[in-house]
Amino acid sequence: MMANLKDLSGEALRERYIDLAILMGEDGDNCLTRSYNRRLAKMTKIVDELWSRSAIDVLLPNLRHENPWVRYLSAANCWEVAPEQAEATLEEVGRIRYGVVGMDARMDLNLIRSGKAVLRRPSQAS
Amino acid sequence: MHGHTHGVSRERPDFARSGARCWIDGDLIRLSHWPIGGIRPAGRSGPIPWLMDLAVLEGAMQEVYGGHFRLGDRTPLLQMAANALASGDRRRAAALANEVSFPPPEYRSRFHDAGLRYLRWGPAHHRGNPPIDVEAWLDRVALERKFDPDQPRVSRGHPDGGQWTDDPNSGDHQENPGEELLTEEEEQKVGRLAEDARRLLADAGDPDALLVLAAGGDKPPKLPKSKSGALVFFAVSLETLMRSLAFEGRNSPVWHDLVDWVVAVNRVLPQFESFLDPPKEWEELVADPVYREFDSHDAFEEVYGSAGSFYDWHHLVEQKLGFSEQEVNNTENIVRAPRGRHWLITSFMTRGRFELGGRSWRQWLRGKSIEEHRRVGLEVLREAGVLK
Repeated sequence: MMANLKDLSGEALRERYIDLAILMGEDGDNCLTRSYNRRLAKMTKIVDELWSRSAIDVLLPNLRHENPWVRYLSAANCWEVAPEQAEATLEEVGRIRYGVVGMDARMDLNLIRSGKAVLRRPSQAS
Repeated sequence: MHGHTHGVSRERPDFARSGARCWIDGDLIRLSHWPIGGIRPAGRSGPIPWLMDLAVLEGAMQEVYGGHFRLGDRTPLLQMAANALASGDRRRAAALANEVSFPPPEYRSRFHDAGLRYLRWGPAHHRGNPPIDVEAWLDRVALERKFDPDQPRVSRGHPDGGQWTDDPNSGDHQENPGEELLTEEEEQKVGRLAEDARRLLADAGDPDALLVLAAGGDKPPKLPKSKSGALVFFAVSLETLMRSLAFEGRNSPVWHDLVDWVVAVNRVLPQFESFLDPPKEWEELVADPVYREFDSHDAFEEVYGSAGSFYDWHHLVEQKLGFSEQEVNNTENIVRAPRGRHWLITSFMTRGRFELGGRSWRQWLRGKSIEEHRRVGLEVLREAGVLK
């Protein structure tokens, strides 16, 4: 997959990211953890590829995507380049009371605000 | 009725068609007169009118309570929904409308109570219908749930169901029964019930709601694949349908079918019964108000038995993460949780996340103090709708 990623344009990577995020949302809503985590690993490679090109901001439009899982996941990856937009997105998704995506966003936001987690690009995460 | 007392207000012309005059004043929604008699579900007209009607209903609820119903931080969502609709993004507008429509937890019990009161006398008062006997309706649901001799029961499955593994790298474990995929037969039954839900929603005038909730976008809705997914799917459907009922009372086209549908869902997924339970006080969740500790979970269960019908015992501080048996198997650490919500919690704790450097909450907690484990455990319990 990595070899293919390098050949893809930023927009194509964003599309692949969105497709993965929607599938991760289905996994999340269905409690399919193994599948979710496998897709997360694939998504991490896309994010790393975008960071290597200094092009993570290609994901910014995702913060307005109709799918709440796309918005939620993109907020985490855009935090470093657009913290205010990312935080507002997590707040907005955190208001969703059905399913589990709102719970994910609220818990993550609490963790970030308490200073216990720092959002960084995946390759620099501890 | 509430007057227009202070602050800059702005008329919401969308309300005019329902005969109401409502406006947002700061974080309050205010009503100029009692509007309920003219309100009808407006889902067929698009999401925003439906949203506005919902706001009117909430206004009615605050009338029932004699106070102001605070929109609070949901006001920006109203604006975002309006912007999305203005730009032609109907799906996003509908999704935002749905988000607004699910009140934050601090309003939830009040919303529920006020909704029941409104159901009882609101529509009847304005349409000359006999009052709705809500309690009798709820009793009928409970009765048909509990005493149907043909109701199949789903086995609990793994004897350690819901407990987490000892694998430190386990972000993708196999111990969560909620992760279990529906069997082919269950899938067919769930599919039929989901179709019924769509039909009911369409009859109720809100054909898009479930589609948006299920799909989260403009792709075809995906049917739930797992038992926990199906529980969430049907719980959302029921809540949406109850809104139609709140608007229409006995005039609702779904009135007669809804009970049958709930009972049918419960037959296929008996965990639905406990999944719908509201959050409880701490005292209701613990086995014993007196602190006692045990050498194992089995020893705990020998004393306190099962957690109840479609409930599981849930450990706030997980087992097998380096703490002693007594530290995890005690009456301050083990609480009752509805089985479906227990599944959601287990899945939540084991999903990797960017905020934790790709680790799961469970992995992140490893090596941290027992106080931190407990703090997170309580927060998750509240967020999952188990603890008030």
